[in-house]
Amino acid sequence: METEEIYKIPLQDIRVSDFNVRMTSRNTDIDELTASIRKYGLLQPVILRGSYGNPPYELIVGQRRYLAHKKLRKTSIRSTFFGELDDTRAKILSLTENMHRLELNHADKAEAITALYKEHGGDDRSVAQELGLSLRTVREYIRIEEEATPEAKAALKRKDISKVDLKRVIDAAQGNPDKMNELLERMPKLSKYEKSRAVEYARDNPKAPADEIIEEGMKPRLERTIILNLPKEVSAALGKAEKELSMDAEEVAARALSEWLRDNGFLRRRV
Amino acid sequence: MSRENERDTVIARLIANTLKKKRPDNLVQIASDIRWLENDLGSLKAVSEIIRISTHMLRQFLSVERLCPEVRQLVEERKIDLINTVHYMRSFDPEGQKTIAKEVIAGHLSANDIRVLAPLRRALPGKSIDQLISHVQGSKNIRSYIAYFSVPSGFGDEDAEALRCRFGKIVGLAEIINFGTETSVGVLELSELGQKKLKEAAKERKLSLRKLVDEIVLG
Repeated sequence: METEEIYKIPLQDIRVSDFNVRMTSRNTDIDELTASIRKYGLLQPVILRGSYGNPPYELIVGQRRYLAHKKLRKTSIRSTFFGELDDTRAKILSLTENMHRLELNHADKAEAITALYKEHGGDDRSVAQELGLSLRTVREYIRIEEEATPEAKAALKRKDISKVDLKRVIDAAQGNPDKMNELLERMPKLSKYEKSRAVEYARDNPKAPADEIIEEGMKPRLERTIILNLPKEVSAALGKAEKELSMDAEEVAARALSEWLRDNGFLRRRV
Repeated sequence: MSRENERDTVIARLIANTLKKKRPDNLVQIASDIRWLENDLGSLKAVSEIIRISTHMLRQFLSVERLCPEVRQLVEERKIDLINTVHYMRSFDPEGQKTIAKEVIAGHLSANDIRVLAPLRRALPGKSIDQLISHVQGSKNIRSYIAYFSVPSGFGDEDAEALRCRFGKIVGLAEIINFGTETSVGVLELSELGQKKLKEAAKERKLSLRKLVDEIVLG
């Protein structure tokens, strides 16, 4: 199916495919690319759907190269053909090509990944495998796309909120869109320590309003560490757990202690 | 020294400085060695291959170049010696770097705190660096460290005060949050800095923390 031959295709015979995932920031760094093409020519041909001899052609990969050529008032562009592709394949090709060059912004990636996720019948593993991305990354994008409110997505697009903070907001909102929108502006103004307390409080108190969540997040907690004399064997086991779990000894000990207290009825909920 | 010999020396120094936990040289020296080798070999990638650490890590070492001269001097004197601290400080302006450096040296700001400062500065552009530092410091959970010990029989108020002073000599009286010998189990509650000082004292005497506390109790 795939041909290696390179053709000079008139720009007027090319139209940008609906499956090209780059929907935003199309003009970013276009001047730099234009200057490079003017100086060195086009090093990598663009990829078109279908086969040579049957215009108009759909541009699958290389939208910025195509726009740079238009800007330079060139009449044709070096192109290769990828043969007949179904819509899913076209989207995957466009996505993988751009994704690995880290040139897409979050909104483009999220939209494209979610579209693929739907086409794969909700199988996030297939999407991850197909795109060569980690399952965690794919799930992160899907979660934001599916759970964030339109206001939250817009804030992410404007870079008013980071991806990490938006995930915190989604966690804290517990499925309540109004609460999510209220937290959008306030969460980034907290320190990381306050943010984690706010999210923890919101998870434990799903009905708590946004004001209360922020207020509770801002209250520092008292963390007490007890200096113990451990028998040699216990100390060695703690060291082993620390190494294998990549946690510090204090954290391992705190977990072990809370589990023991819970198992013996001294502690009611998980901490 | 020939160019080849100099190259070998720099490579050996860099390996020693990046493989061992206790680095023989300061971060300014290491950054300068990385730059020398980069010029000699032609790229940072070539340095990465020969030293066997990632270019990402090498770039972190090079963060020191983005510090203002006053702070770089402190790094040279090894008053600031953590790669993460230097790396997170690099994005601040010279005044910000100097303020942060003071807090780091005083033990009031950790590398993680500096990491928290950067996004906060973007979210609260109207606040000064001092206000942001106070915000971060004030938002941290308050940590205290408690050591329990056996109170010797017949222990009176004067003995208790003498013991409190003995602990105070090591950790500083201001760092003792709570001290009690009313029951047979005594309590010593220390601040984070107090615990750090007690740890250093234990390390100096080659004792465990627990053992040191017991020795101090026994006088």
